[in-house]
Amino acid sequence: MLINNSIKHLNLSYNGLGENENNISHLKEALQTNYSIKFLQLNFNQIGNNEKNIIHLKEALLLNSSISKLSLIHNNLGLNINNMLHLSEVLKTNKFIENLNLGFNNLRENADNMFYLKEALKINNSLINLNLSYNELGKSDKNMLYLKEALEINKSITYLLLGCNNLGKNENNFLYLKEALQKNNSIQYLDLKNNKIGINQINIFILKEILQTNIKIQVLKLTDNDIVDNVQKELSQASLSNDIYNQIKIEFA
Amino acid sequence: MFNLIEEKLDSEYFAYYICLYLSINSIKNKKELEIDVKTFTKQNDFEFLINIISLASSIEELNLTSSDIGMNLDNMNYLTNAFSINNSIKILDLSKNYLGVDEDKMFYLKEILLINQSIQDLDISYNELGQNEKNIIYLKEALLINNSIQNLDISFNHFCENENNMQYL
Repeated sequence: MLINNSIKHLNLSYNGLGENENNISHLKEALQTNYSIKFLQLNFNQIGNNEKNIIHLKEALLLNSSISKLSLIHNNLGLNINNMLHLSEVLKTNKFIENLNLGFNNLRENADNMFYLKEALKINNSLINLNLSYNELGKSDKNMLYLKEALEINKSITYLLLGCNNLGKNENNFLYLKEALQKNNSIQYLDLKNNKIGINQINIFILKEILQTNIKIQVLKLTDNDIVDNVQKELSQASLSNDIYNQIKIEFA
Repeated sequence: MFNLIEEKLDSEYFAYYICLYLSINSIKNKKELEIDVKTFTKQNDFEFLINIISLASSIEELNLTSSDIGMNLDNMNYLTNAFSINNSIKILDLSKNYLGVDEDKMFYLKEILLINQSIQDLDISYNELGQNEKNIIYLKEALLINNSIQNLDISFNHFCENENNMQYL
């Protein structure tokens, strides 16, 4: 099917491909001769349930040079740390993937998942859009520590999506985020929606500091964070008083 | 949206072609056509509709999702005939149509894709294609020849039902 080199977008989501490693092996073989697909969707396929699936996917992506957008939502990648190790090897070598969606992958299960991602992001300079939403990263502050260490070095990620990660439960998460953004000059869009930020005043205080000092962020998404109206105004004011007049657009709804 | 069902369909040819003429005129400037085929009461309603589609050269997007097309082989035959004439439709949504229930439906889709070179965006998600590997073989054979399709949605098709399915990818 993929000998056809006109297909640019292939959606293979929700097909239970991870149930049998031969499925991903066949996908690997198909991708090795295909150079047209730019956007591959493999969402909801339980690929992470078997490490061999990820090895096949790794081997495919190490050779493929056409895929620029890869969506791996809801594939249980976090259940086995070797999954993220293999994916990390892909990101260290592949220079073509610009948009990667790792949402809903239980990355919280083991902090080593984010460690391996950090190691990759320190080297990778092609990834522009990284979606880590719905991974409960706030469960351990090591997750955000590793992300901080990655973002201090990475220079390509422009869109970072961290929604629905329960980051608000521990203020250290926001301290690490602040430190990361002090050194990072590439992130322009930061999605922090649904992170229970409003439950802790220290989170708000740190956010204000970010808004007053960051020089690059254009849009900060803060919807569904239990932030009351007067605090929303305070955050908007903080953005207006940015040191270098970088007025960050804040989205509360 | 023009309601084709409100047209009085008559078995008399004259009335039929008058309706056809009026219908084509009424949609001649439309680019999108979304049809709920389930509201059709007679089989020749679908045939009538397909005749309109085949001649309406302005339509670029045809949405036939959830239309139970796969429940009747004649529907696929009419659709094949329409796409042998129509070359304007770029986006075709055939999702949720039971196309994979038996392989005959996908045989007709293969014929469509072999004849037609205008469809760029094809959605055949939710069609149980994975139930029978012949469905995937027909799709593969079609795509070996067809080079117009750029966006292919084959999600929600239970490919895992048969481990041979993915080898045809």
